[in-house]
Amino acid sequence: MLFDKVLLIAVLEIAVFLFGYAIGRRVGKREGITEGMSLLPLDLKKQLYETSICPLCSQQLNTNKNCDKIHNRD
Amino acid sequence: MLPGISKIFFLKKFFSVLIIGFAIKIMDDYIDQDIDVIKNEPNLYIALEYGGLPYALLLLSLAAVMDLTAAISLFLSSFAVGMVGNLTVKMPSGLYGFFESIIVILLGIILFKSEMLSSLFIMAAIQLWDDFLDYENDNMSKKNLAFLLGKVECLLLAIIFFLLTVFFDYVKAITSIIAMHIIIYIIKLLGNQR
Repeated sequence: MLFDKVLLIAVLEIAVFLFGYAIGRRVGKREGITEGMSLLPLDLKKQLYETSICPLCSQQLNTNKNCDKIHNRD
Repeated sequence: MLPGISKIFFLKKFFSVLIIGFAIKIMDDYIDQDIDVIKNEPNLYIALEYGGLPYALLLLSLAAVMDLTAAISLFLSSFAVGMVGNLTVKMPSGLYGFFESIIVILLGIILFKSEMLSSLFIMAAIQLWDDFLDYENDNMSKKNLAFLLGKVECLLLAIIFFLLTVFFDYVKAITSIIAMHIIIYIIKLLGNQR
């Protein structure tokens, strides 16, 4: 029967699409997390450089003294 | 009417599916009654109070009178689909939910053959579709398949299962979808009346 054949072909096509989509989404998600994690330190440094405010604790950078520790208020 | 299908056959099947749908809904609401009380959602079992169990059995009997194979196979399928998620929970029978599902499916296939397969597929399709619609409401629920599999995967699987039901028994596929919408509408009316 033609109708049954069309149905089975449709099921097969959707199943193949589903398989590809499911794998692609999971792999893409993992890649996105890895990429995001590698960009995060650079982004935090950029924010600190532009605003002089620590993006983690929102404290103002001590600009009076040239010190390494940004949270040092002395 | 549908080609090759008499009106009486269609109506008997339709009412059988509709009535068994209500029986399954009562059973489902019985299991979920505590969650529904917390979420303040309409619950058919609570609405029927002590009449829940007798009404569910009465509806099961009536559905079996209309169309025995469709009614029983749908009930077995709903039981199997409902229990399949309980992988690590031991049921009162002493078996894990997953094993109970497998036993019920095998029993159904032995008794009803392709009728059981179509029932199983339509139940899976309805479950997936329901979880797809409920994604926004309970997207943190571990039992929601749309949350576990992904929204698009859930929808595509529902479509696949529905098409497979059409392949095995297109009358059941059509009647089940109509019955599902009627039941949802009645439950919504019940919720509005409270």
